[in-house]
Amino acid sequence: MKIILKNICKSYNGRKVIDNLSYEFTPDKPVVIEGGSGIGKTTLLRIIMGLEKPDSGEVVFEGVSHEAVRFAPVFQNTRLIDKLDAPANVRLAAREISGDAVRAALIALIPKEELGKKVRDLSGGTQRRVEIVRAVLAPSDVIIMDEPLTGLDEGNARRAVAYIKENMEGRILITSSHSDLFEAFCETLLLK
Amino acid sequence: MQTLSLSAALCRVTTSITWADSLKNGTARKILIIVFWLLLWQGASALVHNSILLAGPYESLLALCSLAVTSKFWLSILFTFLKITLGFVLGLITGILCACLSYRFKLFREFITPPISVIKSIPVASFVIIVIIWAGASSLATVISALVVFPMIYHNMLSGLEATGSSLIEMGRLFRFRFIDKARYIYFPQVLSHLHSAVLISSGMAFKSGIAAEVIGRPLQSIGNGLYLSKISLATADLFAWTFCAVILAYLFEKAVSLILKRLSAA
Repeated sequence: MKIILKNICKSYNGRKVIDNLSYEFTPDKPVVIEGGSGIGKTTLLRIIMGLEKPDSGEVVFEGVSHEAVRFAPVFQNTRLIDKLDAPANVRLAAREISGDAVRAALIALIPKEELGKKVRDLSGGTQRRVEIVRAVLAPSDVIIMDEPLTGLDEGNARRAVAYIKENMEGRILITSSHSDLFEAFCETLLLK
Repeated sequence: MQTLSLSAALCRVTTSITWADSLKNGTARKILIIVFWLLLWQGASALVHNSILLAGPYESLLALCSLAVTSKFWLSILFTFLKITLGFVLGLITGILCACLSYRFKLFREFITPPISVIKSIPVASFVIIVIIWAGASSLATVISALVVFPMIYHNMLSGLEATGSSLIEMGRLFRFRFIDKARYIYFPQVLSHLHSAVLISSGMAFKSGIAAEVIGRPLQSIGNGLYLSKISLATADLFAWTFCAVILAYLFEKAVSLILKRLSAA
């Protein structure tokens, strides 16, 4: 499968955010989108997921119809079901995976004693790691992560990136990040 | 002996402290306020000295006791309660269903908006007469309470659905949550906060309008019929007794609904 961006343009309030961008994403080439704040990284990710429409240009999904493509996102802001604990949140998106497997995956990134707490009682950094595990475990063709390392300290960020890298399993990975941890194994798409 | 008198004194002190505390902010104060109003009512009825104009609480209690020994009284309460509860449930279900359809299909919303505006603006009395002509008096309380509940639930349910954050909806859609999970975890918490007050208010409204409809339609064995008979026989004490029953019934119903809502919120 391949995602091809063809001459994507997007403006907000008369200001051009993305200007004639063409690019290809494939499973063997994870990509990290870099660029200053407000440069259009989130907008581009949302366009790829079909949550926003470009003003012109198109997103082509080669080898699969657009409707059939399954995305597993980590959004820019936290989006979890507050009143559920971390394993329950992950299982909502990954029903086929057993509870034990979900807990084992979560323990790789968050302390065991945090598993039983409702996610609204977890710190921002822990919530972020729950979202990362959810995106990785959910059945998908494309993993999209918008600043996934926000709120993580150096050690946790390293562990999170290693976890993502080990579990991509032939899927397309597109992430935006200010951290250089992704650069080690991702191609950089610099937005200007 | 000394120990006994000491413990008795302690007991008196404790009792007086509890009573003082209760008087300050508790049950005792509430009871005293109710007693005050009952005495005022009794005093006013003694002053008027005409049980047709104003029956006192004592006379009303006697009337209630004499009504309570008849099976007709209990059957009237039972039938009114069941009919209004059925109407409330029907109004609740149709209001929720129509709001879901309106949220999902714009065309449906456009179609249903005029009849809902009509239902809201037509006086209950007009509906009562229409229902009597079309369906007879027996189903009156059910239809009227459903018609009163329906628009309130519809509007609040719809605004709850529309207020549901798009961010969680997007998340649920992309992760392909099951319909039941989306409804339970994304929409339900938002909708419940909007529905909570509407359900409580409409439960009270259902009883008021249902019984008012019964007074006009006078179906046999109903609270409304009891009220009507009190009116034509100028038995004000009976009127107060029936009213007391209606108030208690509506209160208990509202409490039960409130309890269910609390359970749902906690789930």
